[in-house]
Amino acid sequence: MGVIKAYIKICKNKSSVILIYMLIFAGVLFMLSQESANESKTFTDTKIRTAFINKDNGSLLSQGLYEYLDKYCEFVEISEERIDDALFIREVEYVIEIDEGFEENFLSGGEALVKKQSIPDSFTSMAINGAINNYLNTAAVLKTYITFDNTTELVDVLKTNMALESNIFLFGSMHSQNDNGYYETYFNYLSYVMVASFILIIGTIMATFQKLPIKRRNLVAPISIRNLNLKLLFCNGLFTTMFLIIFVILGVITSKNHVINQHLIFYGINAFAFSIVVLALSYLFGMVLNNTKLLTLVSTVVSLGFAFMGGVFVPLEMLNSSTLKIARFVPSYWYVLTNNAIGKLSNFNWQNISEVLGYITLQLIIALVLFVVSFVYSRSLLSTLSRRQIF
Amino acid sequence: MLTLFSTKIKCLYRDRQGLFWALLFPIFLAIIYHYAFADLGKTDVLKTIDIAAISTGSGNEATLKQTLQDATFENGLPIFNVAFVDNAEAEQLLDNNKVTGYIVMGEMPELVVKDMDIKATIAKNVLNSYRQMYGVADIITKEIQGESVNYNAIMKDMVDREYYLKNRNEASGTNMDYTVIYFYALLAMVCIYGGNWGLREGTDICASLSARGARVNIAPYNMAKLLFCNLSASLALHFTGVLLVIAFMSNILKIDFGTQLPYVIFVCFVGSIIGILFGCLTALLMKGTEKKKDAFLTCITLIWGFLAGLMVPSVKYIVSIKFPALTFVNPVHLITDCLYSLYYYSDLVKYTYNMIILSIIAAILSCIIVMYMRRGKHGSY
Repeated sequence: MGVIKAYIKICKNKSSVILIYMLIFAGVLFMLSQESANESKTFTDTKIRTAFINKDNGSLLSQGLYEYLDKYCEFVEISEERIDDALFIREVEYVIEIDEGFEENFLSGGEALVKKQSIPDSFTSMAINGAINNYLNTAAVLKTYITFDNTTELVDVLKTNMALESNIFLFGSMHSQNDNGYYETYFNYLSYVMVASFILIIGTIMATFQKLPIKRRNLVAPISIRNLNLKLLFCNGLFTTMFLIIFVILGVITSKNHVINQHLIFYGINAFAFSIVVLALSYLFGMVLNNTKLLTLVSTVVSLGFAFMGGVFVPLEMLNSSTLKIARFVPSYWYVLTNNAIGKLSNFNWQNISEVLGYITLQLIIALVLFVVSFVYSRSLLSTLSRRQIF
Repeated sequence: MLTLFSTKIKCLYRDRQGLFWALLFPIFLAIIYHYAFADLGKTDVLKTIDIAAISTGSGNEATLKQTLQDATFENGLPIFNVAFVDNAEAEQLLDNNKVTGYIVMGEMPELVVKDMDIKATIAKNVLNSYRQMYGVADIITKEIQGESVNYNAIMKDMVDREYYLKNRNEASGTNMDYTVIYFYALLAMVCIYGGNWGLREGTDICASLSARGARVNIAPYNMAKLLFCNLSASLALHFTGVLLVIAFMSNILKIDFGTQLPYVIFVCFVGSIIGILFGCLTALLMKGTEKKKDAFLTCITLIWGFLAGLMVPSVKYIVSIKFPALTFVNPVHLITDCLYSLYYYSDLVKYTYNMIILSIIAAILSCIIVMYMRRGKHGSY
């Protein structure tokens, strides 16, 4: 009980520091999740803030283009002089400029180009580029084959045709009512919070046990190194479980419909497995770096590194293949992969959940390896200490 | 004063482990960022999409099959890897996540997906284009009834597309790669991380905060001068680290800082001053243990970084549009803006504006520290 009592005493001593970290990370997690939840996962449904500068006054074709692009764009009224500033703060993300005489040039077969300014090579700008080209190409083909009496007729035909769309059905309507999309985002971001706060908090607590006088005291105490490590591990495990329960409850409270379903249970199990990995990592860092200032820096590097390489802040499908190869060595990668797989589960049969369980097992193996390294390091450290002439 | 400065440098240099990590941690992060954002948001990362197709026996299925098989990305990579299967098998494949979705072919093709992600959106766009192409062909054939209609020629014209776009040629805004925001926010955060150095100096100078502070206070020397020398020594080492990071980012990672590197260095210098002054002020004004102050400093730097787009750049823009007042009290945001304005604008108006705000912040922090140091009295027991 001595070790557990000491652990509780340290926790009480550092309660204000622990509370600061937990509150701040809870705030960051909440803001991140809300921000991402607002960004719909449907790219075509996400309208891009666009400035439309029409210098071809009275042109029906450019007006038709404006109306057609309403599906893709959220038009923002901005004067031409303010365009640069608006792009700088992303008040608008895409600028379309129609020159004077555009319609006349287009109908007469001359050069009629739409000027654009956008984020290069992004998916969002690619969608609008495609839409503008699609509209004008269709108009060009129509006017090649059909002789229209006036431009109104051409624009009306275009409007009817461009409204044609294929039907899309969501398989099992998974993301409609049950908060799974939000949970997936929330639990992905939770991994960042877990890494950052566990390394800081557990590392700080463990660093206390690594102080030389305490190490010496423990070495002469009638308790084996194995027993000491297991008791510390138990205390840390209890701490991480409580931390996780608080954050899972926070996730349910901040979700839209507060649904508790099979998906949430699986997200929770995955988060628990990942918390064991992070616990093992924090335990190791706490032993190796017995300095809280260094732990702060290491926590920042590791948490942000894991989050970016593991697909937390950047979706995995947007990372290139060489980055993904490196990411396989990052535990967050497997955690996010598991969350993505859980998000796609529509049917919880053995065949479907075996993939999820496989990823979770892999995380537990990583945790086991880290624990073994920690124990071996701890044993070698103490035996080195015992061999030294310390008096 | 020079002796005090050089002595302090020697003291700080002795903490090799701390120095090593303080210099290396931003370089580690920059390397991670570099790998993570290698192709972020670029169309190059698009991969062939596994999709299933179900035959219904109606409509012009052969053309749709051909369209699906022939569709390619701009780089020539096929968009779809199509498996032509029956209904049950398609559902099974989708249920087991083997395909992104399945297309029910026919006169009005339908797409069934689990989630509207990027792949599903691309599939949807291809099907929409297909429907619109047929729509146009139908309109033309109806309009020119009686004349010899070459359906294939119409379809060919629809497929052979022209490009109707050109870039606006503006002096500013030609550089718009948003991934640089991550690196700028990181560099800004590194500057503000100087707070750790300032925290140490603040603790070491104040008699009520540390034993060293108590000893220093009874020395027959002007405390303001001593604090100035100590903070300058910390700034010298911290700024050397920042310069190393800038050199690493621009020369090895090839991060684009625009063409005005001296301005980049200047803003980082002012940012480092603010970081160190803020850390010193935290040590002097905040009550509690050094660990608590350290936790506060870590958290506030992290929050500033978060609001400046260190984790998700869109947060920076949301703050700029919805809470502009917050941007004036967030030095990480101001430094990031300065760096981004050098990259984005052709003139220095925005840069100067942000630099003035940063200078005002530095002046306010200095004044508060001086005022605190002037009225500090410690009893002797």
